[in-house]
Amino acid sequence: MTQTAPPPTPQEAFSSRTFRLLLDALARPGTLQRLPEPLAPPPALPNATMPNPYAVAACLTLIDQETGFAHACSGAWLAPDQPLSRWMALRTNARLCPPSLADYVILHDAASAPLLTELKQGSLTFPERSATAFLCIAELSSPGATWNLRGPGINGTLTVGLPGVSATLLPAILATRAHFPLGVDLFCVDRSGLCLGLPRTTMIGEV
Amino acid sequence: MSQSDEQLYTFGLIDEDAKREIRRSLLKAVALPGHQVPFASRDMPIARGWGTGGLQITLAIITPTDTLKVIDQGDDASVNAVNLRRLITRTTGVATTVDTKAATLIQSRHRIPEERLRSDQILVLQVPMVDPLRWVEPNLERATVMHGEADYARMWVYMYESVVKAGDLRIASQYPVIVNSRYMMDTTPIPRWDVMRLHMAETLFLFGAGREKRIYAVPPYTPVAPLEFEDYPFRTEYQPGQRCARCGAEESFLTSHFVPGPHGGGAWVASCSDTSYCDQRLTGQG
Repeated sequence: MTQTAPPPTPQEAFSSRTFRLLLDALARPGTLQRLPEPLAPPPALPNATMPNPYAVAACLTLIDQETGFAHACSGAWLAPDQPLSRWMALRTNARLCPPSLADYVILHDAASAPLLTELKQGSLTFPERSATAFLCIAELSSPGATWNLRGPGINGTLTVGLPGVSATLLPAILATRAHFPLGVDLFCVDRSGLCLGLPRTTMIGEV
Repeated sequence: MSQSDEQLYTFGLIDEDAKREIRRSLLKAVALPGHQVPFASRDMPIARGWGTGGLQITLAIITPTDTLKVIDQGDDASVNAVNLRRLITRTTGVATTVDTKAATLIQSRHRIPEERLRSDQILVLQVPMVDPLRWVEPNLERATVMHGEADYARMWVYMYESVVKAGDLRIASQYPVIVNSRYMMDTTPIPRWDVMRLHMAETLFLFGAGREKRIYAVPPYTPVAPLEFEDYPFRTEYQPGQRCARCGAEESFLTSHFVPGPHGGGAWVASCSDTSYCDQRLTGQG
């Protein structure tokens, strides 16, 4: 009898590959990772646009029945009866919950970035009980001319570019990390699937 | 009856729910360098205390394209390393190596390989004791609050008492460090020799404690400072004139073992703890 190692299923392979990229993105802020092609396209948002499939698929690899999620579009939180809410809940068993309780959050556009301040930031004894957010933006580049980044994972300083992003984005992010070790950890994902990790330890300044 | 095509487990043995939970904890651990993140620590086919924390991390992050190296006290061939490697390869089918430079994923018990690790490698360490404050505060809840408030005064008193009683910082392994100027962290029983190699490294270090159900991490390029006093600085085990009896290395961490003589008696011999490093030096020279 030989017991051979089974190959991962397509979903398992996608999840582990995505996780390694997210881990690398968070461990090396400022280094962009290209997320893999999603296995299935998500349904449309209420404003009839398509959500960023890379961000939705990456979030889906992390949530399950033990976690709550929330998502927002055009500056407003989406309801449980939205097609995308139902689609995500059906595939993961994760429940849509109030934003202040959500473990994982997708902000489908940069206009929703001010909602970051509503997310949970953990406590001094349990700072890990904080939200992880995926912020969908148009385009990412590294090096770039929007922000410079310092902190753990960065050898000195790195620059990233988020062309066309609103000037209100940075204050919204900084407001979630004013009280380290409390804070929200962030992944920015662009339309082509490039992912920028911004853990709460990353110090962000304007170029 | 042939069972050759029977699938007895999923890829990487543990189920996807367990992997997801470990992955979520790992992401938070990386975002909070040095902070101990609780995780569920499922039952494994080996006993807790034998590397289940490191094993669960490895199984949660491994992909079919990884090349795995497993070491125990620097040794690729000791019993803990051999058994863990066999379990991981049987359940994943990944390639293994003893060559540190060829590995993408290294699981280690109590050593960091001598060769400088790269940015495309991840080192997973098996952790027996997670909390350096255990020496001064055995109550977990109170120690958690002390970490939350960065209240490490009692640890400094402990270090001071160590100097007063023993004349030096008498901590052989598990040397406490401050990570990113915030969290005090147990370095696991890596020797003092390896402690400074966590500082501003190119590699991501992941720490898993299966028995104590904690995960923590040191990301690349993160400051790691050992506890020390101005007049009693942190020192490694380095002894001037030290030399490996096998390969002649003068800049490696040595372990000594007793070699009995042919007519009784015998002698203590010091050789490299990192056997792969030692072997490569031998073949390179010979």
